[in-house]
Amino acid sequence: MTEDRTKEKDWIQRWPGEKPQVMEAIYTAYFQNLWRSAFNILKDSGLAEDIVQEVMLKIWQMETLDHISTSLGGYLHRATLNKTLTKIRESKRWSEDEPADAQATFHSSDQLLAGKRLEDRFHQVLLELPDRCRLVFILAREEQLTNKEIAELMEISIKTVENQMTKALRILRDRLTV
Amino acid sequence: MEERIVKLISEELRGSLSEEASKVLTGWRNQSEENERTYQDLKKIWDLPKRQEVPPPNVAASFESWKSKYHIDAAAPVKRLPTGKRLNIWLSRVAAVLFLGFVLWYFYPSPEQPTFWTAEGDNLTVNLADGSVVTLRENTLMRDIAGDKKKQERRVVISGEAFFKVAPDKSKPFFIEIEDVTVEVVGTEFNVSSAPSESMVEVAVLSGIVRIHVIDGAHNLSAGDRLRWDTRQKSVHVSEEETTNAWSWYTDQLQFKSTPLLHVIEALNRHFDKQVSLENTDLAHCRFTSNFHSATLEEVIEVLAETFGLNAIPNKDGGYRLTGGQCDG
Repeated sequence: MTEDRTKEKDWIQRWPGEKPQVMEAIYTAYFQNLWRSAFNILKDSGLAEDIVQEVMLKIWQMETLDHISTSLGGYLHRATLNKTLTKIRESKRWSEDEPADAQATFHSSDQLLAGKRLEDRFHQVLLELPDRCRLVFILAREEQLTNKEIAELMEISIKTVENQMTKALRILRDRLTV
Repeated sequence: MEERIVKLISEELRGSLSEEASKVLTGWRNQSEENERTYQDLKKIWDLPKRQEVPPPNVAASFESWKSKYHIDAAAPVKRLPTGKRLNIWLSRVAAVLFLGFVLWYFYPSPEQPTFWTAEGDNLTVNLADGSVVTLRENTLMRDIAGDKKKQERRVVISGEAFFKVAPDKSKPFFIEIEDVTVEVVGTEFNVSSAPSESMVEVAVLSGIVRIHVIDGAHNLSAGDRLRWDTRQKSVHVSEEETTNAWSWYTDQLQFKSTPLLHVIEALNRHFDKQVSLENTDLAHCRFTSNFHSATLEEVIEVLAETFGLNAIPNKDGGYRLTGGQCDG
């Protein structure tokens, strides 16, 4: 058993009696990672913090943590991503529209950019991707979710996830070459 | 390049490629230098470092702001009340109301578009400026968007479940957007709900007339009608079967009048948000008549068990599994 898992077990056990202390420990241990996950998607530091704080409030309101059968970290991660995607849906920032040039093609003669230029341009192109496409790519790359997990979170089919993934890769390569 | 190959590369990058598929990909890479270069380019892009352009907020400061934001006194030891559930439930409701008061303020994005949001276990009644009254069920969000000022219309966006009493005003139609459905109202009482997990939007009408716009056209509903819209299949189902319990969460009354047991179970699941299942499918069409006001699930189950001779086995999550039994008890 990993050290994290041991620590979590200890927290879950101590929760009913020492809630305030354990809460602070949980907050301290997970806040930054959860914030990072929400921020990667929303690109808004304040909003990302609000979401993590709401997730933490949910934990605080629980009388027992016994029912969290997977890891606590995993549970918090899922809850954060769930809330993040809900926020996006509610704000209707979920454009399904496909820009005209979305179907990029590969040209064999093109050379991939290199070094710092590649990195800078990569983050720029990432922001230019259609919403759904960008979300799928980020959830796969940064959050290491499986296609099934992404499909459930975004409420789309696995087939759509696959298609958006390949689309993201096509566009990225196309726009990162000269 | 073939879609199939990009898919294989995508899976390879994520480490989820099967051995068999891996051979196919290797074969493709060996076919030409160009193929190999494409693969290497994509791998290089995938492996680019995650950018840390914005530092995360300070943890200690964030924890302090969290405590004051939600009025959490995390320094005081939490005492467990010996009197048990009843008092605890009451306390938690008070806490939720306080929390809600805060949330209302906090979610106001602008004075023109007030947003209302209910926490778990909480209903909220909102009096809109035009005289309409909306009651939001728990875990529901509603934004009051002004709509087109020139057209002088009323418009709200909702996610969750709510009961509407719309003030009549023919010159200013009232629109409700829920998922991909738009409900148009002149003056009426009805319930709308969306359950993203079940990909369903439901509108049930108590009085008046409502016009529902979905992508394939519009449907008029009058008192006693219920429309269900499947947001995935994009299909619509209108029924006139009893709608009384569609808003039971709002009236806190469950009314069954010669209702098939299957529908009774469905209404209970919805009203109490707990899983009740009927194992003996022979009983699905048995009729049940009774009214409950402010009843607990335990009380309703007791009556059902008595009526049909059922065994009620409690679930872990507070629901019940009903076994055995027969129609005439």
